Amino acid sequence: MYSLKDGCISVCSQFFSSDYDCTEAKVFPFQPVPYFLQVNVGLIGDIQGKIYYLLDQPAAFRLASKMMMGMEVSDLDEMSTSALKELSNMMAGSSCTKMGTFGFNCDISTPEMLVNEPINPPHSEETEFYTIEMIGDPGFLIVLRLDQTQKLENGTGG
Amino acid sequence: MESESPKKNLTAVIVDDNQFMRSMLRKILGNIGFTVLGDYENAENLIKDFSRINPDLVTMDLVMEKLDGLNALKQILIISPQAKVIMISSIGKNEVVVNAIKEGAKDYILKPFDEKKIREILGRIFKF
Repeated sequence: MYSLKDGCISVCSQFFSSDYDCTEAKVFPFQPVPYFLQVNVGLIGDIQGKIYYLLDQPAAFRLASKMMMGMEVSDLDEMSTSALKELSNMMAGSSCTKMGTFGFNCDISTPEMLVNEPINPPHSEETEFYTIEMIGDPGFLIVLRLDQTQKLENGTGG
Repeated sequence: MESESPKKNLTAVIVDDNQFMRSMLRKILGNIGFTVLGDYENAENLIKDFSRINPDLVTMDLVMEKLDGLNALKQILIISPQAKVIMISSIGKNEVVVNAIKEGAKDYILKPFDEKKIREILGRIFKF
């Protein structure tokens, strides 16, 4: 879990410089929460599952605006959608890179964006969810879905 | 000290499946002094066009559906062994970077990046 959190903090800190502070990110069990938009990125390799970046509408517009150098965003057009997908791609990629330093060989798929769609987990007793709350301006949630029970709690890739 | 711009007119093409990233790279390369001949959502179309446009620089995304950046790099170097291709990706795993360089990429840029970083790398490759 720390790799996932650190990867996101690293990208947010670099991309949004000093006006974004994710250092208070918290890790807690997944619970269904209302959100407007999800961008999901598949995990392939030693760790299989999905990372979901969940944003409410103001957060989606604000993050897209930040990515586009402060341009006003009031709807999700092609460019702002693309900016949010790219941000998610960078966060997932950075997390994967950090997992690699713990010996996990992990790759990512291209991001997919869905509006007003619930997370649809596969029905399996072995599926696990972890949630991270990114506290910043704006805040957002990250949900990690693991499709097999994987040992993340031992300080390795977690 | 910030590098200068290229002394001669250099051309570039961008391959990235993300529109925002293509737009950002177009702006950065233009600021540095490159003439951007085109941007491509997928590498297949660039490979079809490559011999005709023969750009001085290709920026190549790594993770793309259908033809990925590494296989596109190999195909471009078969068409034009002197081609200068830099890989751009959010994945910074050591073996991936080393493999890309081994296959002939001139450099590997990790996202997120800024104009200064791109300028430094291109200055070293094109000696400006």
